[in-house]
Amino acid sequence: MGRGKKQLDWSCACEGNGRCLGAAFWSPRSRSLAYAAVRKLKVTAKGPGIEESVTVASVQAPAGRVCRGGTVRIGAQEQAAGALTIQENLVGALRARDAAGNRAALKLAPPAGVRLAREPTAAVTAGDLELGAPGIRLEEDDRTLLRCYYHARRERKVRLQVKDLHFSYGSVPALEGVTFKVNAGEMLGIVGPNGSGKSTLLRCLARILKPRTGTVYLDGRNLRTLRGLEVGRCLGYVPPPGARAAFSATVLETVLQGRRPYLIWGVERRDLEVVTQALGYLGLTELAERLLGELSSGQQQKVFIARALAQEPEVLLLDEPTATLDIRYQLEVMALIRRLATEKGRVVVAVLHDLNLAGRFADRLLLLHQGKIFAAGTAKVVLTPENLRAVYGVEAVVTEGPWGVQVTAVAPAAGLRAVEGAAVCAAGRG
Amino acid sequence: MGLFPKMSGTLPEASFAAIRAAYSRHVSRKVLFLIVLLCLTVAVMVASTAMGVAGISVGDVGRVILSHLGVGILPENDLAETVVWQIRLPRILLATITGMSLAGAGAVMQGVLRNPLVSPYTMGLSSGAAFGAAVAIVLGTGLVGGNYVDVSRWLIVTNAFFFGSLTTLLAFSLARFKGMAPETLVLGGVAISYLFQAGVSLLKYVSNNEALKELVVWLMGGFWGADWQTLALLTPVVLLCMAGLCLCAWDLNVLGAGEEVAASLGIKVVRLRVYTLTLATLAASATVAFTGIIGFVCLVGPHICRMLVGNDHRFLIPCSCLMGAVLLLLADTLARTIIAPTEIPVGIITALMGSPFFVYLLIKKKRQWWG
Repeated sequence: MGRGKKQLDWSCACEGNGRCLGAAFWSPRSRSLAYAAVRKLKVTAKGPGIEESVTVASVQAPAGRVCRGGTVRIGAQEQAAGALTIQENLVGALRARDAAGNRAALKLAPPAGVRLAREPTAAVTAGDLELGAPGIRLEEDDRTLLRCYYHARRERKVRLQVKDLHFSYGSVPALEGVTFKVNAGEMLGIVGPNGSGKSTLLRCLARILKPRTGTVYLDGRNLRTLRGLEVGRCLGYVPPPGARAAFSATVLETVLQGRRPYLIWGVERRDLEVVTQALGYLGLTELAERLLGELSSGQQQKVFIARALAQEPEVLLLDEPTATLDIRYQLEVMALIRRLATEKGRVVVAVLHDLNLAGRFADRLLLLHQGKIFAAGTAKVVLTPENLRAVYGVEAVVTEGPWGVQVTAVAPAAGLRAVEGAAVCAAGRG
Repeated sequence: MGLFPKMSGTLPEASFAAIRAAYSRHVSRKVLFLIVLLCLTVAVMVASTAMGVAGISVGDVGRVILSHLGVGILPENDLAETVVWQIRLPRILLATITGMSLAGAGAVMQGVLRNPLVSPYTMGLSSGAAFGAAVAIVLGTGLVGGNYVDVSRWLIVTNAFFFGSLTTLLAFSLARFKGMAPETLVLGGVAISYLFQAGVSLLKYVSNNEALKELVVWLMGGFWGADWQTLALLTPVVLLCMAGLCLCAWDLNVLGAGEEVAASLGIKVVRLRVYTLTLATLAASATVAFTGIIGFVCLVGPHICRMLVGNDHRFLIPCSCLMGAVLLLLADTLARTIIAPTEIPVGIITALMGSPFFVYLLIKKKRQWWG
């Protein structure tokens, strides 16, 4: 995968009774074709990667099913009537003809929270989707490309599955029976007090530590069975701030390290493109030739995140990604990984100390306490004053506002509370 | 343009061009440096062949070499043939090979153990080799068995090689209990080094005059023992080891970012450590066995290159090899010629000459190459 991906022109045409409406998308990453509400689909493709193949195949599958690359054979330049040219990873809408042969164009509606930058046509190209851009909302019940795209992604559901993880440092148990699932496109925040096993859990997921018992599955595949550099294509790990290298590399060299799973010796155009993109996301383009040792810890942290992005991983694991960042980059980085999850259907698991960021950006939270899951669910369910008292031993005020659940720790909980704690508590309420 | 095209539209061409330019600068500067260093190595080799006590003209030197390569005919001068072909050329090639293996091994050891102070010297390899040689010289016994009246050269060589490699093996077995942590490996190496040093001291103490003299000379290191047979043995070993190490360059780069990151990128850190340290030890102890203890180059050669080409192991390893070769060649030529006909042990010269250069670079280059 990864290497040698070429941009393809895809076209999809609907066959059959002409009534069928639907959408299909091709994911070069998983080499799979997903489509929804399509009875029969004719796929033709032309592009630099596939000149030699000649077959045109029809595929038939129930809506939402994902066909693996092997089942769809790709034909050469055969432009079916009414086909649309589809660009980039996304793909395309299907236009259907009614019985009289008239084309029925699809209207497009983005999933909730996504706006389109321009008046949609039947084909949507990569540039169109922009979060928050001024755009048009379309009718709720249009069957659309984006909807289908979105749902087909959602259809895959569980991507990361963790079953009964146990880990101990010597005889000291650090994780006891941790079990959870993360869906495609979801960002899971791991929160908990110091020493509750957050980082240990993340390291077990990143294959740095080997759990005593328990298994981690990615798309149904045991992570332990990944061979060699495959690991780096599936998992991206961002170490906690403060990790120092022995010898300084430049920012560019460091981010290029993230391409290691795709490299043999030389660095190719695609590697540099991905690196440019990753550097751009984190605002590091200007610093590319600086040495890592010359940067502030916050900048270094951004470099490490960029390196993980350069890996193009299916699962992004971050250990306190925002701890050394200023408030602007805290928001930017969180929004970035949030979008990475939603729009690419990736899985993001982040250890977060800042409960407010966790409550705002994570889809779900996992509250760890003494190596066990104390609570799991949305921020509203997890970050309750009762849970915080039990786990952190603090009295906290929890409010829900336009920026998600906000937690303000007021004072150590009763029993731990000293006299001045009570004063602070009183002041906080007043 | 596949990464996250949804997230901020298309790839900005300007920044892609900037990154591409930065990367080509990154590479071209290093390649250029590598070429310069290669030319320098060859130039120094040629120049030092023509230098020496026996006043042989450059023309004669060229003719001798060409005739052995099958071009032209031998010059009349018999002396020139003997001196150039039998003495100087093997010696110069041995210095080149030794410099390559020591500095290359040093660069790799520093990288894989993530420690700028590590070299074959500090890892105990030299002490082990010294002990092996001392056993052969003083006690006259060795692995190949038997009590020799006159200590054969091969006995010293095999002993030194065996004990040199043994230190790394011992360090491995110590570190195994701690998951091959680099600190344990280094400290284990240092501890073993002290053990062998004590052994060498003991053997010095009990040795007779003749043996002591021979041992001291061996410990200072030099290229006296150079001949074509030695070269035929060493060259393939060293070149193969270095090629094997260059293949790990990317993994070493990633390991520089930390073991956890390397592990999460799918690199088997322990396996990488064992593989690279084994190759580096093999190359270094093979050469040390023939030349005796030559320090400095293996520690400082890589650091000079770090300052000049940075820490990308794809370039650092070959650069260190060439840098080591140049340093040792210059040192050996000086050692041969500076107060000719007396020869100074090359180890003294390398340190005398290299240290000021190193300190100069250390002060001049202000960038943070370490940490």
